[in-house]
Amino acid sequence: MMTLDQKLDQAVADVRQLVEDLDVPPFEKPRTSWVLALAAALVVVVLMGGLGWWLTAQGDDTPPVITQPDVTTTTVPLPSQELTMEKLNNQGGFLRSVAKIGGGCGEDLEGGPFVCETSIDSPLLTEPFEVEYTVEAIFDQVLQPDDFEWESKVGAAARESLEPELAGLYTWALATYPDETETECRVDFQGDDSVLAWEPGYAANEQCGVYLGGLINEYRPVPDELPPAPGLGRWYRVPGQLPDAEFNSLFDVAETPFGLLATGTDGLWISEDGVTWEPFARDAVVFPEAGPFARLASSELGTLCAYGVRPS
Amino acid sequence: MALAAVLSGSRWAAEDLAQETFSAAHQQWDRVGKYEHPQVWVRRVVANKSVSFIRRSVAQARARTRLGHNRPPLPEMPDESSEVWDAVRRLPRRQAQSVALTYLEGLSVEEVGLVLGCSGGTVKTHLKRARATLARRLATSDGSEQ
Repeated sequence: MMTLDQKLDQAVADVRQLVEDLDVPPFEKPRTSWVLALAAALVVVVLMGGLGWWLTAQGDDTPPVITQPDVTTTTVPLPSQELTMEKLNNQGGFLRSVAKIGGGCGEDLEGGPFVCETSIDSPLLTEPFEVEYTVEAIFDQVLQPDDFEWESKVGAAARESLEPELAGLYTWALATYPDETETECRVDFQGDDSVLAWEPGYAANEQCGVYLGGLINEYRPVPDELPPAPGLGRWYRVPGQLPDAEFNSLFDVAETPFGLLATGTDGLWISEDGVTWEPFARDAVVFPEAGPFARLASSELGTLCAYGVRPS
Repeated sequence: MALAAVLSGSRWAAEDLAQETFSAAHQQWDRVGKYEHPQVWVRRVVANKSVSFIRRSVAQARARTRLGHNRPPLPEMPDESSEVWDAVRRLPRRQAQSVALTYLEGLSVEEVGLVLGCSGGTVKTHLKRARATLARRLATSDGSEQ
């Protein structure tokens, strides 16, 4: 019988051979001969001259006009900007508004508590809302996590530490998608995967929305024609204008009783006239069911994105 | 790339992960280049990205299954992948990373600790537990215990 070390040695050899077998061409600095460069320049000059002649012959020297789709805009009253957290709670919580959930955790290397904070930022809030709490009781298990234990403990931590609305959302997510609601947060202090990636059980971090529902992966057919948004007439794609590079993985979208939850990565604010797009990234956002805020849309890449109208 | 391949279980994903990592290093070289060991940062990012890839892939697969999509959820590692790496990937994340960095990358426990941000003693613990689990799952003997 082979020993474990023998098997590991063989496995390592297999992988190294696999990588070596990849046909990766060696990097070579591009070389451009002056003859080719001159020829390319001549071709460009000739083409530009021909294009200018053609435009003159057409009698139209104005640049081509890109026709925007016809958008019917309906004015919908925006929620009051005077709302406070208390008022929001009275109305069922901030989850009925557009909100960003963020936060972070910090480890006391001297053995102190692992402190997490969660902040909630919403244009509807007059001042940021923050909550700080420790997860000391479960910190010892970080190195040897047990997924099932984590699930219950973190769920309890959320219920005890977070606002009822957050805990409610978590509870709903866990009950609705038990297999896809994970009790993990992405802890990535540098934003580059270099510090900690997926540490089980951290109850808050920069993407606390991930913890609360970001792993509710709701896959939907990508519509050719985007559904109408309340108060916005038609949604439409703007080929070539969407900053595809900005969002490539937002499939963490789910309908919740609180609205459309989009977490984990990216989304777009869109102006009310549907013309101006502004990406936002790394946010967790809940778009309400009603109001001029958001619907599910799709990117040209086929991944799901959330588009919202920034409240004015 | 080998590290990404064994931790992600996908040779094709490994190419992307390696590329993403070097791209990130390039973009943030002003900071990363000042580190005493930039290669440690690169390995750490690869290890984290690989595990994140697995986690997300699993979640995707579950959702596809629930929605009745039969598309294969994960690009499978080709035949070259051994049962050993499959078993490694089923280990807890830190243990899997410790095994890959130790045996594949040939790092010492202290170097692995640098990559993972923990002490060499912790790495030893991870390795010991990992080896015990692997020996059991692979139905082989753990030479370190003999």
